[in-house]
Amino acid sequence: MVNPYHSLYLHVPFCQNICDYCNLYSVVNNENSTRTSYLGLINSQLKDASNSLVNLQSIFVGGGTPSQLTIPEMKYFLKSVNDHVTLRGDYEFSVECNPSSITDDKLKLLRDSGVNRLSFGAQSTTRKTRSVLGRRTSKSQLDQALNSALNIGFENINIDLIYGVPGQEIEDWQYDLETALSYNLPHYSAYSLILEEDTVLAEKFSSVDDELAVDMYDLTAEMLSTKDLRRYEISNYSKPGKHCKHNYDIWKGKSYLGIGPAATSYDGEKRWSQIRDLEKWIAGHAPEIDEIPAKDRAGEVISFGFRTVDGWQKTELENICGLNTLTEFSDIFQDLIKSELIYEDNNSLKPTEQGLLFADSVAEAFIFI
Amino acid sequence: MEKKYIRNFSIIAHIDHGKSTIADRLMQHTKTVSDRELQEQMLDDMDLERERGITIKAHPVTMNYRSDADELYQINFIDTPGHVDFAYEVSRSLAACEGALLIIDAAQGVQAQTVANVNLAIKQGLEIIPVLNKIDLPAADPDMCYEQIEEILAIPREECILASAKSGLGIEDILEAIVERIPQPKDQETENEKLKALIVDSSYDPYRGVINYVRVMSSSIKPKDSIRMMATNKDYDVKEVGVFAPKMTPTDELAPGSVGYLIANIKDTAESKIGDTITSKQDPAKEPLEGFEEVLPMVYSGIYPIDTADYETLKYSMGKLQLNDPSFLYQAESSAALGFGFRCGFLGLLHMEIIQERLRREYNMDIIATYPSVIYHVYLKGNDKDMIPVDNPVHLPDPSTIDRIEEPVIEAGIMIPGDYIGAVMALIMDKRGICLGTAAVDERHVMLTAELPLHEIVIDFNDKLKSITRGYGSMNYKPNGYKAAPLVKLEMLVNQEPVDAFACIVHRDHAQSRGRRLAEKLKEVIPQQMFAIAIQGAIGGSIVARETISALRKNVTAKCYGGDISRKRKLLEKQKEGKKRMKQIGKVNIPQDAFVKILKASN
Repeated sequence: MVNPYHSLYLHVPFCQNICDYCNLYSVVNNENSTRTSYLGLINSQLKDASNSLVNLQSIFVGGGTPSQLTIPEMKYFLKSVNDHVTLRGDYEFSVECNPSSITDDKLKLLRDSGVNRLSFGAQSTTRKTRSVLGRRTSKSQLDQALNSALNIGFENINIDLIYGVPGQEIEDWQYDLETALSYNLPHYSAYSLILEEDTVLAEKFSSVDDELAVDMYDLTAEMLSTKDLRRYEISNYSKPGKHCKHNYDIWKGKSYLGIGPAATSYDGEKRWSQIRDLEKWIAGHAPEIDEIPAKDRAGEVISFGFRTVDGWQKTELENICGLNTLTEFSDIFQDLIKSELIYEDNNSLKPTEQGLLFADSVAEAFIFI
Repeated sequence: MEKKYIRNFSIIAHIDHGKSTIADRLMQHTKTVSDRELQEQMLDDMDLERERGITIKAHPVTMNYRSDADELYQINFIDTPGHVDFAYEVSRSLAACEGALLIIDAAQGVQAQTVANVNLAIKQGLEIIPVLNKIDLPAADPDMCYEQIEEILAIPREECILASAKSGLGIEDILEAIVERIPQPKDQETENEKLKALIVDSSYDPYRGVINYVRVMSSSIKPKDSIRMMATNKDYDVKEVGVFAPKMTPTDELAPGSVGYLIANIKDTAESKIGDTITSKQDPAKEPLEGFEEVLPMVYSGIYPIDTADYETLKYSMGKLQLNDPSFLYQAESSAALGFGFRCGFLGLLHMEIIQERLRREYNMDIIATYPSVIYHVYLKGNDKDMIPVDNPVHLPDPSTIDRIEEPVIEAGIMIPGDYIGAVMALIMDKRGICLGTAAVDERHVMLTAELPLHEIVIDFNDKLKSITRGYGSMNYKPNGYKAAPLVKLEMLVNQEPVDAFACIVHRDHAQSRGRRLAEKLKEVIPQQMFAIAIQGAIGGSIVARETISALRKNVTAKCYGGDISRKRKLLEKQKEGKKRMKQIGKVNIPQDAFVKILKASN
C-alpha cells in the first residue's frame, strides 16, 4: 500500500497576460491542442496516482489562472479530480480565480464539483497601485466577482493583496485595506511586494522601501484585527478556524503531491519539481528531484513552521523527519530565544513579532553548511 | 667587440617626456627591430608599465650602429624608471653606464625629478647628452629649456640636440652623439685582468631560473665558465650569455665593457644579489666592485588575501615578485579583522600600487591592502635610549607609556611655474610642511625646497600638487631624518570593538576629520543588520567621530509556499555561505568588500 499524500496541488499554467510582479509559471499563448494535451495528462497523472490520493485533507488548484479554463475544459479538469481523488469529511478544496475571467457559470460549476474555497487575486483596489503592478483587473470586476461568488453560495473566500509597491503611500494601502474589509471576508492574504528575478517590475525597480513596508505590515494587522481577523502566518489573516488548511499543512511539513508544469511535491522524504515548461512537461520531461538528508530536511520543515504565528508544539518537535529536533537542535532554539526571534509559550516555541519579520534569519539558523 | 666600439648609456626623463618613443626610434633606426615588429613602446614589457606610461624595471637593450665614420658600434641602452619612487633603480642603471641621454619635453621644460636624476648621473661621472624632444609641438619653448638647462644643470645650451621622436627628427644626431660624446668603457684601476661583472638587475624565469642582467667591467664571460658570486661566495657554471636585441639573443661571450644577460642555473634570486660582483671561480678577483646602497622601504602596508585559503598562494606570488623586485619586502603578520597576511615594505606609494596591481593581474590574487604607514620611532617615558620602530599602527604601545613619537621627514624639491607659488605654499602648510627656500629657475619657474612629513607625501601630496598646478608642478624628495610630532592612534570601533585594519597613526589635528570620513564611509559599506550598529572613531578613550547604522526592519520572504521551498533553501545556503566569508567583529558581520572599499577610499 502506497503512503497516501496529505494534500494535492494542481497547477494550471494559463494566463490572459503576465502581471509585471509575478514569477509563477504560466503561458499566455497556447494552442487548443496544447490545452487538450495538458488536460489529458493531468487526468492520466491523477489516475496513476489515485492509490495515494485517498482521504485527502485538501486540494489546491493554483496557477497561472485556473479560472482561465473554459467551461468544457474546467468541467473535464474537475471531473478528472473527482474521478481519481477521495477526500475526508472536513476537506478543503480551493481554486484560485481571477475576477476578470470568472463567470457565474464557472462559479456554479466549481461549487457543484465540490470546490468549497475560492481565492481571488485582487492585489490592489486602487488604480495607481494596479498600474505599477501591471495588473489589469478592475475594481468593478472584483466587486462583481465577489458578489457572484457570495450569491452562488461560497463563504470561504480569500482575496490576495500586495503592499509596499513603489509609489504606494501608507494612505493608499489603508484605502486598499478598508475596501477589502468592506467585503467582510473570512480570509485575507497581504503580501509585501517581492521584486522577483526575471519580472518586469524587477527591471524597473531595484529595491522596495522596507521601512514603509513594515509600517504597512503593522497597519494590516491593526486594521484586520478590528474585524476579528488574526494574523496566523506572516502574510495571512483569517477569522477563527478559517485559515487555509492546505497552506498551513505545507508549512508544517505535511506531504503533498503536485501535478502540472512547475508543480512541486513532497512525500516526507524528498521533494521534486516538474519542469517549468508546458511543452516539455507534456513531452514527459522528468522532474528534478531534491533529496536532502533528514537533518537538513528537518531544519527546513521547522523554519517553515516558524512562519506560522503558533509555531511548533514541543511534542511536534520531538519527531520531525524522524529526528528528535527538540534535543538535537536545542542549541539553535536557545540562540533564537536569546536573539528574541522565538519564545517559549506553554508547551510551544513560537516566533516573536520580530521573528516573523526576520523569518529568513530564523530559517538561516537551520541551514547546515 | 672591442671596448672602443662599445657605448653604454641610459635615458633620464620625466614621465611622458618621450623616453620610450625615443628608445623605440633608436631601435628602429639601428634595425634592432623591424618596422613590423615595432610595437609601440617596445621596452615596457608589462601592461601595467604601458598603461601608466612608466618603466619600472631596468631592461637593457643592445643595438648595433654603423656611425657616419663607417665604424660598427655596439650600443647598450639600460632603461631607467622615471618615477620618484624608483630613484634606487635609476642609480643602479646609471652604475652600468658611461653616459646618459637627458630627454626634456620642449614644451614642459625640466622637472624636479629630472634634476635629481641628472645630479645623480653627474655625480657618477656620466656624460650627459641633453635632448629637447617634441620640438615640433606648437607649444615647444626651446629658449625656456636652454635657460633651465644652463641655470639648474649647468650644461651649455650648445650641447642640446633638437629632436622629435614622433617625426624621427634628430634620431641620427642622437646616435652620433652617443658614439662621439660618451666615452668607451673604462679600464678597472686594479685587477684589470680578472673577471668582474656587476649584477645590475635580475629577473626570474620558471624554466631557466634567475636571469642576471650584468655589466662586464673587466675580462669576459663565456658559456661553461665557472663563476663565483662574491657576496654569497657561491659558485656556478655559466649556461648561456647573450644580449637583449631586444629579445634575449645568445652570444659567444660578453666582452669587457659590454652589457648583457647571464644564465647559470641559479634557482633562487636570493643567491644573486643585485649589486654583487661576479668573478671567476678559478681566478677570483680580490676586491668586489662598489655595489649599491641597499635601499630601505619607506612605505608599509598590510596585504591580505580576501579568501584566507589563498594565503599560501599569496606568499608564493610575493616570493616570485620579490625575485624581480628586491626593493619590495614582505613579512608574515596577522590581523584580527583580516586574518593571516603580510606586512609589506615599498619604496613609495606608486611602488605600492604597482605591486598590488601586479599581484592582482599577473598572479590573479584577490587582495586587500591596509592604509599605508611609514616607520615611526617611538620613545617610552623614562627611557630615551631605546627606540621602538613601529610600521603598523596596531603595534603602537599604550599611549600613556609613550614619551614621544617621531616621524620620518623628507626634504622635497618642488618645481612649479611661479603663478602657483601661493597655492603650493598653502598645500605645504596644510600637509604640515615647512618651506625652506625658493629659487628662481628661469623667468617663469621656481624651485621650492620644503620639509614635509613622509606620511603626508605618501598619501596624496603628489596628486594634490599636480591638480593645483594643472599638471605643471613636479617634485622629488629625499629622506631627511626624523622629527617629533603630536601623533596619535586613531582607532575605528564597530559596536565598541576596535577593527585593527582601520587603525592609523595620524597627526592630532587631522584625527577628527579622518575619523569622521572613515565613519561615514563605514556607514555606507556595512550592510544593515538586525540591530543598530554604532561606528566610532576613537583616540585613546575619547570618541572623535560617530555614525549609526540603523537596524534592518525585516528579513522575510513575504510569499513562501510549497513550490518555493527548494529555491528558498538554495538562496539561504548562498547567503549563509556569504556570511561565513564575512569578518565577524563582535556580533557585526562585515563583508570583505567593505574592507576593500574603505581602504581604497582612504588611500
